[in-house]
Amino acid sequence: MTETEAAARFEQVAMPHLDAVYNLARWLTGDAHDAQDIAQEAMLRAYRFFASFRGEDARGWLLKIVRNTYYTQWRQARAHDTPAEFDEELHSLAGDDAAPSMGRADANPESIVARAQDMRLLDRALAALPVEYREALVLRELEDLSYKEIAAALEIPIGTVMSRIARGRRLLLDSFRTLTGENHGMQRSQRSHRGVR
Amino acid sequence: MECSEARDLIAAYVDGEASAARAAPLDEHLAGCLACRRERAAQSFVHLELRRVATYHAAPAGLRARVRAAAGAAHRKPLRERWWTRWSAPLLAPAASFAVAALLASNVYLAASRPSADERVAEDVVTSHVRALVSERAIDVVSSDRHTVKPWFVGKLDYSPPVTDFAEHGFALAGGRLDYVGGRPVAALVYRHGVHVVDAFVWPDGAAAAVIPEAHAEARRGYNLLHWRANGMAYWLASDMDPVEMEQLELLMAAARPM
Repeated sequence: MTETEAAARFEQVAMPHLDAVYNLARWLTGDAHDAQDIAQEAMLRAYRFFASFRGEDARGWLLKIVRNTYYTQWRQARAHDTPAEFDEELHSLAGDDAAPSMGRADANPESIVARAQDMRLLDRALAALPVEYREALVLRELEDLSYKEIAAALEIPIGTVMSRIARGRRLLLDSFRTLTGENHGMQRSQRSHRGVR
Repeated sequence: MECSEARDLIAAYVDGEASAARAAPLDEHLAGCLACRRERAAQSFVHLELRRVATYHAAPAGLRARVRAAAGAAHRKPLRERWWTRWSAPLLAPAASFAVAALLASNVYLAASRPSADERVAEDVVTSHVRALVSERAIDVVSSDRHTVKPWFVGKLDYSPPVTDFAEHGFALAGGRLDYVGGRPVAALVYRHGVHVVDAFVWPDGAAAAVIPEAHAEARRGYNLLHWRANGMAYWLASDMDPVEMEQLELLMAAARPM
């Protein structure tokens, strides 16, 4: 393949997915500057490995590269820096089978919607999720990938995709509810001196 | 169907990923189980809310162009170490940009181990750049056409400098100038990048058979310098541009085919 052909094919096949590449990088890193670095490096890797791409699902292929770039380079390099935080208070679930939102007075989704006018709360809750749940939900809800496509991108079995999405949503709802309550001055007595990330 | 089994299926059910063979018994279970109906409501709520309000971060302006430039350059020089990816690696970028900013502010010299010959050249380069900026004679041959600029050097130098216009990448060739660096006449190519002027000094370097694996950046008298060797030539950039933009031009120049 000549240089011009390669560039043209890359432009046609890969570049349309730059938004998806950046979006995933942005949700993985939580930072716009880091996300640009990851996205650029991932696209460059994609360009170099383009010959090995067989043309089935360009977006899934690129998202996999984004993830690999994030995990192999970026996260390892920072591993000693700040370990991924997990807010115990925010995610106070006992286990997978716990049904966090059930049996509480404000568990009704409609009432939560009514109080959560600020959509950024949901962003905050998503950003605070442990990365394995966050990436699964971003691919499912923001990229609208099927379980099969997510399984390919994350390189995990479909059954694991299903449990990550299920648990991710439960965790998200719980922390969203916590944030919503805080935002409206509720539950203050329980957490008077503790902030929520 | 037991609740535990139903719980595992509800997410897939909400996502339309449960097969009909499994959805039917789940429907039956849901009809008689309030707790699982609530779980379905919870799964469905997050599913719909994320799609409705979660931020989709579209690629910022400029990323597309940077990816194109980087990909094009990578194609043309696969063997040369891409130092700039490390430079811009997320781990290093904040630290490096902070360090550069700090060094610029204090005007500290970055390279401790530079050979004295390069030291003299660096001083000449920044002096030439500053002199050109303050004088009338910033450009001897004013042209954005490399076919005008390149021949202009014939007879004035004992070599022919590579001349390329990078206007489509934001670095427009403005012309050329004959200058004096390291005790020899050299070609200075002048580029404009926004409000910034960049001087690119190029001359043959006999010692440059071995390519410098990494370009060398430093700040001197408030100006940024970037130096590398390739194809038997020594390259020096001098400008008040951001170091990252200097690297972009380096990338473009290093990627351009010799002509």
